[in-house]
Amino acid sequence: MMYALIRTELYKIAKRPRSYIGFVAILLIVFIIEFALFIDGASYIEFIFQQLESFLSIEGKVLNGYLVCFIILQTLIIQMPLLVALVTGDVISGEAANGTLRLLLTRPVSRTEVVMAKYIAGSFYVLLLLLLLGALALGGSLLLFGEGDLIILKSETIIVLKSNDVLWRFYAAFGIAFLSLSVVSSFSLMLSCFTDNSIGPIILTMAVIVIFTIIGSFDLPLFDHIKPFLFTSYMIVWRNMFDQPVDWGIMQTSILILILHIILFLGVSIYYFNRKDIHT
Amino acid sequence: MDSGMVEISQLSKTYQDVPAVDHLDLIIPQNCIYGFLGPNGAGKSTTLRMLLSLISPDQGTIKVFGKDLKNHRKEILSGIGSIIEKPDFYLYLSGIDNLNLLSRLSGMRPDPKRMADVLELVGLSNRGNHKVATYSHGMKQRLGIAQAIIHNPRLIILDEPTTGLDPNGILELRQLILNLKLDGKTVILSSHILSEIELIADHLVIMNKGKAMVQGNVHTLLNDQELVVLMETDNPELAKEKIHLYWPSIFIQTISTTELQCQAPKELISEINKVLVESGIKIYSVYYKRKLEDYFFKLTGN
Repeated sequence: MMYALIRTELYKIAKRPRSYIGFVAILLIVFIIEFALFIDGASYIEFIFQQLESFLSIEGKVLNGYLVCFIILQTLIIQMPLLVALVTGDVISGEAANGTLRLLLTRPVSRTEVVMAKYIAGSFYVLLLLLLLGALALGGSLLLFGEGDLIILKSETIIVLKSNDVLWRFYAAFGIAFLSLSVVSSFSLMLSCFTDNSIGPIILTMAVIVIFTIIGSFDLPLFDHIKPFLFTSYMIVWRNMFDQPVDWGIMQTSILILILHIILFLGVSIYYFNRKDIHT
Repeated sequence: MDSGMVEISQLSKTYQDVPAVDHLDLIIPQNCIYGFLGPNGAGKSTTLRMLLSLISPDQGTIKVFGKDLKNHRKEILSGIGSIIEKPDFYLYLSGIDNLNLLSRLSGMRPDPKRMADVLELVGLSNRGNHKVATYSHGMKQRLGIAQAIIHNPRLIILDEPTTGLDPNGILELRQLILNLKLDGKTVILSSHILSEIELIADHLVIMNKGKAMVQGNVHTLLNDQELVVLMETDNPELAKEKIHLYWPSIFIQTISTTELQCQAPKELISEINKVLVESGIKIYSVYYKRKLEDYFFKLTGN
């Protein structure tokens, strides 16, 4: 039955026009960035590295596919959760509002199965979004700009990664991005269980992510105490994959915390949904 | 009474201290058309939703097919088809897509022949491939009936199934419900249209304020009741005197210069008519109001 439910959920996602907004948005953003950098990327890089020329000599092709992909990932990291929430935020509340939840729950399926099927289908959607992003941002950039060493400017350091040492880091970064977006997906699913209003959980998910991200970006002592409790703090650890060397301790802790968040959000969803009276 | 298809015992549900269903006991026999009647807020929908496990009862038990709903939910639901309140579907999918999706969730493999038969039965053969968003309310109602029977359930719950149907559609639905009974199914029919229930139900419950006011076989229940008989005559006052002379206990009143109304058992109507005609009073018409309507209003106090 679980297989039939997942298949049903995927079919519904595929048939809803809203599901394609994310794909179109990624396509447009990646195309715009790649096009702009292809036309005017050299002067952009020159401007960034201008201040470093006095103490650093840079040779070779700085503007390469890896750097462009890194720039795209940095840009999209805020938008991606919003695109995910657009689809996963109303998987239950939307059906409650439209009355189709009643149809679904009068079939011989358990409510736990319904929640899990919706989460798995949502995760599959997230995976497809990331595969498209990977194909366009990494594959497309490598095709357009070619390979090269990846030079990243962090707040106080310059990290230079050899071209043969970069690809696996991107794969790992995409894997962590998948985990992070799955947290968003389970969070919006949980909010979706609490209400029969279709749009509310989508807006609330977006608001929470924006607020948490803003808090996370401020280096204030007060916020430093809050940050460890915000799941968004761990969603940006994909960047740490480009440290030299990679701090595996931080990576492991962050991945564990992300997984625990998914379990928590899904657990609350299942607990609440199993006790919910369906009046719509 | 035989062991029922559905057995409800001491079922209760309260919302903010107001009982929606109050210690309800109900037995729905197998292979019957069971009418569910009651004014708005009587607890009909809440009871049907609890029967489908959409709402959890505060107390009481529900047994369907002889099994406890709480412990055998999936098994029981696989044998039930239902329309609750209004027909809602995935509007961005076609009628056939909706039916395929729902029958798959009922554990059935999509069967094109069964699909074609059911669509034919509800009169949607030529619209099955169209998106539900383009359907009229009546067509959605027909699709609702299709989804309720597509997986060949033993028990069918129809909550206001005639809403939005034209007279032809109502007639076809009535025939469909009767055919379902002939096929050995049990149909629970909740409706505000009392004449509809009176025409096809063989058992009924009348609910009010969360309680079952009365339940049982329709004919047994209604035959015990006196009818309200309306007579059109040339002399209502004389007719009133004559009836009163022969049957002093009958409640009788003139309601216009040509009409008379009395309350009498069915078998007495022909006797009254005979006495009046023999007394030289012209009788132009004799008819009685729907029995269930009177019975319903008497019980619910509306």
